[in-house]
Amino acid sequence: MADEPMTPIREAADLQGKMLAGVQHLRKLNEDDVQFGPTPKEAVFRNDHVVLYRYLPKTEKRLKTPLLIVYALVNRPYMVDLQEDRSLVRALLDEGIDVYLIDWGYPGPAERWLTLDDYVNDYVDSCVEYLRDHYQVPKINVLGICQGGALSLCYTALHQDKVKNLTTMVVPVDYAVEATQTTGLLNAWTQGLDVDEMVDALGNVPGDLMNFGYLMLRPFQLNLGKYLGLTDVFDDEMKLINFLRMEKWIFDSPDQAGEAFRQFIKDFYQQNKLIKGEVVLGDEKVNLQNITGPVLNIYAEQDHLVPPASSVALKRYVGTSDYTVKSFKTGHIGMYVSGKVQRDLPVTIAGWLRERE
Amino acid sequence: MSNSNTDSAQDLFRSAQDALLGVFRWGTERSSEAAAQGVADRILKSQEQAIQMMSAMSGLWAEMAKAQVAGPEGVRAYMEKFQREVPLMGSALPSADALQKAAEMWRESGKRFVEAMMPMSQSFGLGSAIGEGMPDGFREMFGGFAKSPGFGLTREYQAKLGQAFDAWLEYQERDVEYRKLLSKAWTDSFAAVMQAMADRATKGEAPKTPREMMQLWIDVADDTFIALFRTDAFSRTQSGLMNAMMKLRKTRRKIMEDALIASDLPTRSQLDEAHRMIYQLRKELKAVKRELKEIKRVRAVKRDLPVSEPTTTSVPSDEARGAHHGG
Repeated sequence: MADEPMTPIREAADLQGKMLAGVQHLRKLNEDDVQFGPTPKEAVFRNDHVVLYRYLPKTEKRLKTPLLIVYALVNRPYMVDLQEDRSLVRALLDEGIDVYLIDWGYPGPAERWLTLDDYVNDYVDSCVEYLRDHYQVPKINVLGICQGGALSLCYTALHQDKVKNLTTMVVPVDYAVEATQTTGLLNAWTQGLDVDEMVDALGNVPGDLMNFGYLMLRPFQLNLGKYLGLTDVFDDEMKLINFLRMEKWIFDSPDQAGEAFRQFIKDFYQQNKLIKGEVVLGDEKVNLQNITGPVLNIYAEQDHLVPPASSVALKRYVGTSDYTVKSFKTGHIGMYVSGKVQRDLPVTIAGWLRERE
Repeated sequence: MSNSNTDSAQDLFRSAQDALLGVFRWGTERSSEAAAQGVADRILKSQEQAIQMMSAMSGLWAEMAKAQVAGPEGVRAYMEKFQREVPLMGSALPSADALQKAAEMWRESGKRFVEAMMPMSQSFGLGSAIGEGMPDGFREMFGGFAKSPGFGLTREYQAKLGQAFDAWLEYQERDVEYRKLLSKAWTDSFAAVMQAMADRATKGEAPKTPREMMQLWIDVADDTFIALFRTDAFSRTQSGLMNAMMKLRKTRRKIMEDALIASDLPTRSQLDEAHRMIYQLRKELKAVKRELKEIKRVRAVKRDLPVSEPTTTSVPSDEARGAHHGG
């Protein structure tokens, strides 16, 4: 207790030192110092503005079946290869998996009319076709992340003959799960939205508008507390760069192709059609019962964006008998940046795939 | 020193508010068609606000450090004084003066917070919102314009103007409702923060540093706002505002497009239509390419087949053509 009055004084001295060092670091840094995607990769296939990347393998002995990562449309996919020590891609390569990633690019006015059918049955399918042809295999492995997982579920339900093993990670499946204290706000907020009016008025939906919604999920922590925490790392150049890198990813948000956004909000969020088997892509209904191959469903126990209950619901709707569920005690973003998850997640995925190779 | 304590705390809060509001503005205005200079200014402002916040906190700590020269008793006296003068530091029984100052600070912050939530409307080019004072009678007097039939050469244009005016009125109403809800959340969060401070002080766990104080404020305020965000009333009001904003944007576009056509300039609708045609053509081209590829593949297979094999498949099946592409 005698030490208590000294606490703020020590903090003051610490902060002063950190401030001075931090300002010096900030002065030296520029945008180019905030690099991401350190793992070497090459573009192997293009379809319109969509690019398929191949990460250069790191081991000789590898699984025969390549893994295609299908990321969400709402953020940039380099989150899976953020930096040297936080790279799901790198860890999967270390496990002997050939990793491919679809980069959706930044939809512009010409992409305003793209539908979910285009994303699933053209873009994803053309990448799968490229890999089947390149590897001369009938089926490939798919890892769908977040919204990309929802697209992957649709793709697998329509093309199970081309998917050997499906892994879903932090994927919303049931969009009507009951909200809890920490999750489910997005579901609630979209219910009354007139998405037709929105897309008609905006065309493509601005990424910044989406970000505004995400920031409102915890307005004080995400807009203020986070920057208060910056004082802790201000004097450490590497940590400061890591912080800035995450900031870059958070706000580097592509606009959403209008028609695809319209369908996603209406069919998935507002009408929960995915689990009802009522989503229609092209002229086919998406029936999750048609997913009969192995499924590994991974979710984050403290996910504030995708309620865990929404993810675990998948088991009730897929037709497979080979279903595995695995959770990690972290949040949505923690899946990519938590040291423990980064250590355990790739091993989990690789082990599961290896057993089914 | 007492004044500087209070001033520093207020500086800290103001800077924190600025940083918070700056982010809201940045997040919403960036999507507008603001000039590059405006965007650049915002970037600099955001950086500046973050530095300001940390600087203010540093200042507060520095003042505490000065008390150290007076020895342990001086430090203890300083802390007691600090807690008394800066009510948000967690005095269980803050003085009336301190409470009033805190309430004023909070009210001002709330006003600025609510104002800051609104640039979303500015980002969509809807102009600044009017205050809460818009009387219901205003709508009664001027609303329903769209329903009034026009006449003469300009009747069509009048109708569009009327629709835009009605959309604007509706937007203003939704805007006021949204502001009222947020203002209430702000007031509630103040009460919640004060209560949390009092509870902790009673238990002898009052925040001991500005950092702890800020974190408590953030946590409690977040909880209060999230409780509001979870209500049906908030979802309904937020959706109502967004929907009204979009409707206004569309009606405004109709009027602007008339002006653009009169000036011999292309409109957004025309560009959208052109893009739609490009999209459809691109899709058809892809389907034709797929079909051609399949035909070539079938021909190649046929060439390799023995003569006795049937060769009746001249058109690929729907499945082979990839009927699911629908194009």
